[in-house]
Amino acid sequence: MKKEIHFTGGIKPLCVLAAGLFLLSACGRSGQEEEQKQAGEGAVVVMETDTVDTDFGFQCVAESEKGYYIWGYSAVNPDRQISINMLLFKDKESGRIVPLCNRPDCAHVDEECNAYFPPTSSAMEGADGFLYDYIQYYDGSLYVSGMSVDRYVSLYRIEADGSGDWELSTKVFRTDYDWGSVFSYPEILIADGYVYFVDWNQKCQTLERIPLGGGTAEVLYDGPDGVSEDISATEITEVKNIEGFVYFLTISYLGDSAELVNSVGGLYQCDMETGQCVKAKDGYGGPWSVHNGYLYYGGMEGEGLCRYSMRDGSVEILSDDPINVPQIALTQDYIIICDQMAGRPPYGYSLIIYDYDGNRLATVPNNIWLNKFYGGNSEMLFGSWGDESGMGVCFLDLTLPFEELHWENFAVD
Amino acid sequence: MEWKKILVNRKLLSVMIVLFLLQMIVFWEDCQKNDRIWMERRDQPYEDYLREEEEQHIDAYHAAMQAIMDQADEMSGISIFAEENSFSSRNRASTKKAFEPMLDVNLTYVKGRTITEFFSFRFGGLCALVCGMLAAFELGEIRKKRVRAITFPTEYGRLRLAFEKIGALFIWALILTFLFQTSILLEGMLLFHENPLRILSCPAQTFVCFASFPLKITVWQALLLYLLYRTIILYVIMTLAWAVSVIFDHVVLAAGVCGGVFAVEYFLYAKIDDNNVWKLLKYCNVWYQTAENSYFTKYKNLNILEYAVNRNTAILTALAIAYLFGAAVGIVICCRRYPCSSKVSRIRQTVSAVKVRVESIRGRFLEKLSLTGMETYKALIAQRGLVAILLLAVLICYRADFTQVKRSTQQELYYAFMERYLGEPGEDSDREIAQLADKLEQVDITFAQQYSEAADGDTMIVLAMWYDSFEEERLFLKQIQEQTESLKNISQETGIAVWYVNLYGYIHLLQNDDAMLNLGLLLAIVWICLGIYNGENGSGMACMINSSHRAKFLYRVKIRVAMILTSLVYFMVLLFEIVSVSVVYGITGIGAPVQSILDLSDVRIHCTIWQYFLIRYVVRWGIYLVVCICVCKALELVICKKGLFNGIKSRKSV
Repeated sequence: MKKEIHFTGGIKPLCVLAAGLFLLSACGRSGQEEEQKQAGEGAVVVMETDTVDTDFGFQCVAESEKGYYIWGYSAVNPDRQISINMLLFKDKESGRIVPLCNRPDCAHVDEECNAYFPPTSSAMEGADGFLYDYIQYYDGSLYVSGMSVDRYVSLYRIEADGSGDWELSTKVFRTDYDWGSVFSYPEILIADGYVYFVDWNQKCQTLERIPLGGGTAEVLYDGPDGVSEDISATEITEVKNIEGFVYFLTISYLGDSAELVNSVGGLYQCDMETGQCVKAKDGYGGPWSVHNGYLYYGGMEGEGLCRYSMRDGSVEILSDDPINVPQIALTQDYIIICDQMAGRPPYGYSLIIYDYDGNRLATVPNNIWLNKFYGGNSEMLFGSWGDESGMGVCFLDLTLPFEELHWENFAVD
Repeated sequence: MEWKKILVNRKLLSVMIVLFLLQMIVFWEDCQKNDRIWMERRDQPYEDYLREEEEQHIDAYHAAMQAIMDQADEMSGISIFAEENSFSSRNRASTKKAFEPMLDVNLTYVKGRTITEFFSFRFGGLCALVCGMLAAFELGEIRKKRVRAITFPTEYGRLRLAFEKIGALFIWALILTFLFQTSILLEGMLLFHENPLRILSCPAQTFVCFASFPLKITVWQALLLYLLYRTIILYVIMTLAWAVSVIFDHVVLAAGVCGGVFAVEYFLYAKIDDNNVWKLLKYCNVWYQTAENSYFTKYKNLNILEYAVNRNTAILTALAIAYLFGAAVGIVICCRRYPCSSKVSRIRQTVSAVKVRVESIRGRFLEKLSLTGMETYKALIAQRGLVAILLLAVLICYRADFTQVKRSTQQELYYAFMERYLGEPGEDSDREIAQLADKLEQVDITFAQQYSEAADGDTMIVLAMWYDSFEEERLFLKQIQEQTESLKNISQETGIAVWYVNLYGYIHLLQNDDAMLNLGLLLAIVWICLGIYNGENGSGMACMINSSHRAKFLYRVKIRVAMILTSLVYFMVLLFEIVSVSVVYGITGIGAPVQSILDLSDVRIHCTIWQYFLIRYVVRWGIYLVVCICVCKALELVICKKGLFNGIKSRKSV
């Protein structure tokens, strides 16, 4: 008689084991949990985390483990009586600001300095040129953008040790740009091995990405879906990498009329793995920041400092102090807003510091003719200033007592 | 003695003498020019300016050295510069160590314009390089008579000969460097009436050009070091050129390969920035080492695997490697060139049999060729002219870039407009422009009204961004209005009915700024021409041709072949240029009057665009043909007709 071999008896424990493993895998990584707001496609993913990363509204400052890199100005050259654009470094340990040049025998006042990189106009003269508005620290290297000699908007990788060495990393797209014509350099963000960019020379802008190092560009967002009217223009701004997602603000104008302004917009979240973009919040809301599933913004129709929950769509007014579309940055302990609409410097651009319960803690006056607030972290905030005497970058040491908070010029020691 | 071979070659010696004299004249001219320019710009004699500069430098020198020490110490407090075992910390330490002895240097002013001019004069180095290359080729003994092989029949004999040649290369590198460079020094001292003893005995740092020089030595020691350094550089280049000539055993090919390498090196030198990660390719480069001297006078360390390696150490190491490679290759080839072993291996027998067969097929093929065909064969196959054409094709492939341009909205609007209204401006196009202008004016009004009524910042921002979204259309409107205005003015002034044409493609066609491609084309033409004539010299047929009554006809055939091949390569490059512009930017409206292209509005000829470009390209073609003919005539005279002159001399003596 043939022996019957029963498989089912053996399979059952296996199924239980597999189910157990499956359930275990649903547990999150230490310190973070993913929570789906809704099942299915188009759902905003909310990351819960305790730490707040450095929050820069403009990619003009790069933070590494050792310090901050920023485009600034050299000391005045005694022979030519001018200062030139240079890459500066602020050391976290010593607090000193130095040109990014590791040559002790360099005076750091002319083009021979390692911290000097030729401007974008050099592309017209047969050399690669660098844009002084963008810098990012990614994966141990510094990245800046510019124009290559063969007219490609390009990303360059610069050595962060002050040797001045650089190499062309990624050709983003080819242009037909002559010096006589107007060209706006794209907004660029490097995240998760991709270069995300928005070409601002388009009326209907799109969010695209290209692998870091080169490849084919992929369009991730080219306008809102489900809109009955024709879209005449789309603008995409404030592309940021926060807590593992790329967020961006977009507004689209409907119809091509010159008389009626009709728009739709919102904050979108882009999943870096799939490239899928979902709307996180409806309505264009001005400057914003995100942390722990909450969107912070201010001044929408005069409501004050607001917090929008991406989990349930509820809005909480944290403070009803009247503020008007301020720049906003989140640090570990504070919400910092820069009241840019309060007037021209020195009256406007004061900083207001809140805690996460909406309590107003301090106001920092604009002592330096601040005209742009970049954001920062728990230790340092950055911005740019400009008056009749000149212009430059500035910083604020947030570790000081509130009454001592003030802006300082980011100049070489 | 091998080195004396150069002295025996009177043609080569005369070229060296001419270059020697030329560099002295150019040096004198440069000095006069500096005086003239400075007087015009600053109304001050150049020597007065130099004196001020030197005195300022001497006054500030000690402070500058102290500043280096202080800066090195301060950098140890900056985290990115103080990281252990990093290039920055090593560079900091070695720079401090290098400049520390300079703190004790005492400087006083010494009039030494000679030194300043000497170190800013570059032409002399290039002249020495040219002479060195010619000497190296001469020592390569390309296709020399087989009697030489009999004189050195054994492998040991040929090995000894190779070493003698290497020694001869060194002797000539030394002679040329010292001759060319010291003559400039002496000339300078005579021109500026300077005391050589005083200049040579003062510390090197007395002069501004040595401000960053980290050795505590006198001027004469620095100059000696510099001359030895230049000798080594020239010696290595000559050895490599000799190795190339020995490998190819063919003047045209060897010259072509050396020319190609020099061209590539020139572009590396010109295009690579001092801070590019590939800067080693710029420093270890014949142009950098010959035309510059900052590698000697200025201190710099390179990051090689996180070690601070002095630039000169890196250069000398690269030179040593290149020298060993070149010398080894040259010696091995020299030893094996004329094998005289009596034992013939089976492989060699097979190879010989194949060669005989190929030769017989080749002979039968050649018999069927006309004279033109024979010359073409000689130029392309025998003299490797085909290699030049293939290299040019490779260069074209390298330069080809058909990536589509990401056009801005302004450019898209422009392209669309030109597609719709290609032709004379008319009512429809004017109407469209007017409509756009009206629309943008309405946008201005709407924005101004609604912005002033806006109650909150959010509305203001939305309005501002809406207003900005029309920026590309504003730019397009400005562009098209300017073009329309210009076309109307041209029409009124010249009476020509000009058209709307898309200018983007034509702007790129007119630019023609690919220097690498143009240089490659020129080199290919010279290579081909050289090949057409050199074969006769190598085979010893020049005298026979010259004594033939059909000599003139044969030389005409050679020129005809040279012109045909020049035309071929020229049209290859031209086709590539037109196709790449057409694919990327588009070319339309070629039937329009040429004045429709705004950059050509001053052209007085009444023709269409395609006629204009045809004339332009024909003229360019003509220029290249003229260059080809001039090169051919020069080569005919130098290579082929010398035999005739020798013949006349012999007859006269008899």
